[in-house]
Amino acid sequence: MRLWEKIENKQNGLIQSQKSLFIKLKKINELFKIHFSSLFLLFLFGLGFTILWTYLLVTGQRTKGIAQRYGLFGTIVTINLTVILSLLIVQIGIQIIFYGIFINRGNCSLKQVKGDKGRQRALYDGIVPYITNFYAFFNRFSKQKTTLVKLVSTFLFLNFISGFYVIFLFTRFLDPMNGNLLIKIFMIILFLLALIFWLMNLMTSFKIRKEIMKWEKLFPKLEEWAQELEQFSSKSSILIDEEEL
Amino acid sequence: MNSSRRNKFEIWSEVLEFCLRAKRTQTWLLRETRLKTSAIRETLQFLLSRDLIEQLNEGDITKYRTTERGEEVLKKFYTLINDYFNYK
Repeated sequence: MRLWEKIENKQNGLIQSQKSLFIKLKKINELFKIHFSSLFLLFLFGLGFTILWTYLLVTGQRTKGIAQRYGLFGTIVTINLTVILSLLIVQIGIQIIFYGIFINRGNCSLKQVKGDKGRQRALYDGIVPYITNFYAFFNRFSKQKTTLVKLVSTFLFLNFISGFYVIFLFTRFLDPMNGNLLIKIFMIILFLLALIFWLMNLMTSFKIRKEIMKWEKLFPKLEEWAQELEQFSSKSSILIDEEEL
Repeated sequence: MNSSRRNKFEIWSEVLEFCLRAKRTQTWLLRETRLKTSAIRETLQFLLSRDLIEQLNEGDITKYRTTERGEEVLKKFYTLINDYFNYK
């Protein structure tokens, strides 16, 4: 094989590595986007439900039954339910901001260079900025004795509780709607949608947790890569096999 | 993003990736990497000393380009990440 062919192959190898990594990072980014969408839908759903719940409490339609059955204890429970529901909605809002910032940065990083097809080198930009973005998030949370994995696990737990809580309350909520068939169907559809969003959210949360665990193991290796660079001089050929050329 | 928070591997790989597609000036790199002038100078000096980038003088303008050796190093960087995502 001639020298230029070997060089060409080396460059193609680099492009292949970039392409493969670019596709993987795109997939990870898609996962975050799906998770963000499910969170947002869950948030809207939870918010709508809270407004409806509060309305029924204010107008006394929900408190009557509970208060009649359990008295003062029933009122305290109702107030607690409303407060917890609001707090859960707020935490979903915080998650939306967190993932929103992450996705926004990731999207800015990952961009395939268009109109550059004539060139044989580096058609895929943004791999390193995407990793930098990931690393910045890791660093920020590692300093607070809370790794990103722990944070995402906490989010996962809270999402499970929030969804379960909203769905549980929803089932209690369906009772007084028995009168009108149309409203009943509408409420059942809403209930099923909430259930789907919740399950979708849990699934993506698990996948994100798994991905982040991989990143956590990967970063020390990348730091080793930098140390290796520091150690080798301009004349040494640790990484390049000169004989291949 | 605060440049002081960034690790060496992030800065080095980023500069190598930027200089891979085209020849870049220090000013261009300064803007894209959002590093301090001293930090980008230090980085370029380091990469030049390791023969990972080359300095090209085009009239009054100095540009930098990733060398073949730099490409190999960057490829190893990509491979490291690729390997982590290959296993399930």
